[in-house]
Amino acid sequence: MDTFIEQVVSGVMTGSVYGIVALALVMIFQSTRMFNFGQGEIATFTTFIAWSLMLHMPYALGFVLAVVIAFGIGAVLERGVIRLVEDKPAMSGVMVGLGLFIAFNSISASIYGPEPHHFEQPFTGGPIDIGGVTIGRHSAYLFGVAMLLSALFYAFFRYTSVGLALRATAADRTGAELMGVPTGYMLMLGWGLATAVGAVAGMLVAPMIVLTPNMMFFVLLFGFAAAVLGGLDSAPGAVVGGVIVGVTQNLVGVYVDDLVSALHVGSIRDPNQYRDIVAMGLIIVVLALRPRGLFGRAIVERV
Amino acid sequence: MTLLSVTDIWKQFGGIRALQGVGFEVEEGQICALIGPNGAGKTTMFNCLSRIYDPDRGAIRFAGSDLLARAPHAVVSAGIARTFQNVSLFSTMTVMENVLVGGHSTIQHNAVLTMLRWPSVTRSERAARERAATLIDYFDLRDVADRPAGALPFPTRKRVELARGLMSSPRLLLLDEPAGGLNHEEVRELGELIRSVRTDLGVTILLVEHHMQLVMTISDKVCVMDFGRKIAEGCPDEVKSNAEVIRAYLGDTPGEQPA
Amino acid sequence: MSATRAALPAPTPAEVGALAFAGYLLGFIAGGNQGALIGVAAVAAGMLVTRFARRVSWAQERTGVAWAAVILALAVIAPFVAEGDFRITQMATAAYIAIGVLGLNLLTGYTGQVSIGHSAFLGLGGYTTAIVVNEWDAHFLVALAIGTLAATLAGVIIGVPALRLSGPYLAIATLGLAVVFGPIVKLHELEDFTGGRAGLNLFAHDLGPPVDWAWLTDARWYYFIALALLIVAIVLARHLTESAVGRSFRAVRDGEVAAAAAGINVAATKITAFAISSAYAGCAGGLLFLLSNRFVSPESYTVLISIEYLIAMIIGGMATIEGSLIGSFFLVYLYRESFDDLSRRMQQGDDMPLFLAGVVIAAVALFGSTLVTAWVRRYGARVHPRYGALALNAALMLCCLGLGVAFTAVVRKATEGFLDLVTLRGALTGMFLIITVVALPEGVAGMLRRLRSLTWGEMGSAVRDRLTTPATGGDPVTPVDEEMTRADFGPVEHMASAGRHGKGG
Ligand SMILES: Nc1ncnc2c1ncn2[C@@H]1O[C@H](COP(=O)(O)OP(=O)(O)O)[C@@H](O)[C@H]1O
Ligand SMILES: [Mg+2]
Repeated sequence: MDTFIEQVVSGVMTGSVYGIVALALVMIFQSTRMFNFGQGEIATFTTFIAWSLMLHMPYALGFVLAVVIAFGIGAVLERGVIRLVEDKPAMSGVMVGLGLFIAFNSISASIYGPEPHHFEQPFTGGPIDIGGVTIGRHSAYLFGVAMLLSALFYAFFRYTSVGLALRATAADRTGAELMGVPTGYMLMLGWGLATAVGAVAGMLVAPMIVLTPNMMFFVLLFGFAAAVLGGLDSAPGAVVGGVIVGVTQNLVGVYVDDLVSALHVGSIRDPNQYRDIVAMGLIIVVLALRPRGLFGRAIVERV
Repeated sequence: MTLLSVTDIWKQFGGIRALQGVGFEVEEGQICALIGPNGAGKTTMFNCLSRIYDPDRGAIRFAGSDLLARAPHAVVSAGIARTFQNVSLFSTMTVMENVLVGGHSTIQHNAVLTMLRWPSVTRSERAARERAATLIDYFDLRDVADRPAGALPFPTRKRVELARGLMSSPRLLLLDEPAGGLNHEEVRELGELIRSVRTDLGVTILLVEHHMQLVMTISDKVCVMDFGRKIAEGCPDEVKSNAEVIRAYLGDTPGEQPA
Repeated sequence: MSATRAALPAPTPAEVGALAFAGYLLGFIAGGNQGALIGVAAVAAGMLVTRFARRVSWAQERTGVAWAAVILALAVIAPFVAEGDFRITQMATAAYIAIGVLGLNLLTGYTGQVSIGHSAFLGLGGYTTAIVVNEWDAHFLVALAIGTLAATLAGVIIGVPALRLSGPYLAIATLGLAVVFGPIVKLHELEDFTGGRAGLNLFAHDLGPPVDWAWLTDARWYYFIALALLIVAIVLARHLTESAVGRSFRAVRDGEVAAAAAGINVAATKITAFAISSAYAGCAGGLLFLLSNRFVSPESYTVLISIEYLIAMIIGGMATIEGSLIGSFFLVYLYRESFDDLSRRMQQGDDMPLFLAGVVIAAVALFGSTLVTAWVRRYGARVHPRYGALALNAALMLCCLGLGVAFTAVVRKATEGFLDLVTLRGALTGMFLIITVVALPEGVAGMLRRLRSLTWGEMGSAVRDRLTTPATGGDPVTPVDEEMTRADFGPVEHMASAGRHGKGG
């Protein structure tokens, strides 16, 4: 039972990273109706930038600067690239996303090389003990950051006029324009914010796994899964989706072994290798059963 | 003989009751019109007929068999073809290809045989092309036969859609607002075309239409719907003078009625 | 007949271009850049002779067979004039990639179902082929058939849940498929079959030709297998796309509801497309195993392969067969070969590649931008009514050269030896992909289709228009073209709008 709770808790922690990535994906989906396949790689790239910066300055400053740079990258990309395919059909968006994916991956690789880099651990200290469950300090803070971010975004979208303008732009572009919302700037802002959030995710993930050009491959994928599970239309939904994915992954890692021996089909040498496979399989199944996610609404096509 | 009989169809979308117990019959060889204000549920009725929507309740019988037992793509082979309210052609495909798609169920389309270009495939393709060519001539589309359908003017697209519908040699053709977006002269030509389709090809026609003049001149029978219910039915003249129909069309608050 | 003789037209730009390209390629294969020139001359002479003998314009539709015959003849000759086994294997690679891209095109281009999971189907085909060879010592072709079959089955199995997904959702699910393929083959439990992390090396297995003819070397044998399969793949795909099945693919892409209303079983159509597409992928994967020294490993079938194939498909031209061929040539010769070549030369201190890259980037940015074009037209007319724009354009071209020099200097300075150009390939590819999606959505094949009927006169006036004509209002794009390009991506458009409804409802 203890392992169970421990695994769930640590799943919640990892899941919160997916939640942050999902948050970024949802923001972009909300503002431009596009899945940004390049999200993870742009985050990796900005994390590398942060790594370079942190060679010369304290962590906090590097962190903030990297977030600002990420914001700029996002805004410039929206202006320079996304706007060109904005009114083209969804497949163009997918392709542009893939273009960004492969481009940023290769830029990181060519500048920083394939070898792993050590990224600074911001939250140091021993594990924390909460009611008999021990949690790594980094994971705990990670969870805190994720909660904070999603609360911030929730408040931002709910209670500020800029957030309202962003939502209006996402919901009905023409309508918002008629109401005097500068939708062009809003889209730039949306992309900028999303890329900044992605950068935060990257910098938080990097100390847990090592910093390499491919570090976000799986994180992005599970971020997607989280976003889709969350139904793509709410910040809290994205984080909840992330937590579900994280917990599932962890439990699979632990219990697949028990399951296999219970079924008498032999034993498994390394249960962890099944984590990603089974989690991904579950995602595909969920997608197939509930194509718009667990919390999304069904759509009837009007003819 | 009754070709189509619809009984007590109900369909609800969330809180909207789009159809509330609608029923009517269409006789073989008739031109029957389904009219009513916007949002009355006419398109929803058509979508139930072509199995795009599942009605919540009710029965639809076509030529003696249960239509609701069929899959959407099997409606055509039962003998029902349709056009859409906002013309829905395959825009990248040529006019010829669009018309050919209309006859898909009559053409050999087994993928393995097709890849091997089996003689039966070639044969049925050739026959289909001949029939498509005839229809293209009939609807005066020869000049544009090899142009992509998406690039054609609206009235031409409507004719292509008609030709596509007729390609499967249907017994019943459903037309959703065929006159929508056409000018006066085009509407008159359309009326003639619909009538000649009935006589030349022996097709029964059920159409949804707003253009009263068109409806009144070509229909044998008119059903009037309002808020998901059928409120009147009969020959054009009867319907025209029906009090409830006038109320539905002109609004029922006395103050709003034109003096 | 005599009238034809009298009116024999001069070769069109498209013909000359195609001849030059074919010749260049042949020459390149035969002997690097020096051989290329000889090749151009040889092919041009040969084809012109054939053309005059037939007294027809190659640009005419019904000469397609003649074209195909010439290309086939070249393909058969090529391995005998090739410079070495490397070039032959490279051609075979282009052939198997063309099979894979063609399969992807049937699913994504024709039927509108985005798949980023093709690397997994390729992998399944490759691994199955390798395992069958390894376990039962089967003949390669038998193993390949089994591999293809396995991939087909997987395609059907994946196709069923995929039925309910559309557009970006399908993209995510298939991306997931591609990503889990690696971890699956690495599973300890499967290690005995798959070789785990290290992969399966069957270098010791002799998969060479069954006969002992001196001219039929291993490399040539592999090449002919790939070529033969490519031809089969093309023929089958043509039969498919020119029939009711092909029409049902495109109808599903253009509008699922209308397709169903026309009597098309949408679900069955999608499954069919998945099955055929993954069969093609499985076959390509098996050939990949054969051609990469009889070696499979998880690294041979990563997501990047899927992305490369998508890029090839889009750059070549969606929903066209010739586009798939063009795309695979792009991938093999431009993307891989030229890039490796350029980076090698760069490392040896040759600045030319960098300079050229700088000029191209600057030219694309300056001449491709509608803003700059409009500016040139407006101010050009003020400077001088006829030659003002020309002068400004000339100035812009000089600017490009200057920017090329600047680019070279900056990159050299900034990288100082540690920048590895080969790893930057992805960046260029990504840019290529984005530019193609934006500027050339119908791909090279679409562009060629337009160019085919272009005459010298039209080409001249198009260039003149671009360079000198004062403002006539916007780009010379006709409304029809616009509709077509938009419609090329049509299906997804309607999915996107379905998504929009969902928001409101
Ligand atoms: N797919 C759907 N989802 C929700 N409401 C729908 C849907 N289809 C139709 N409706 C609603 O049903 C009612 C009838 O619509 P419709 O059949 O299109 O009317 P019309 O008679 O103008 O063709 C309308 O209120 C419409 O909004
Ligand atoms: Mg309607």
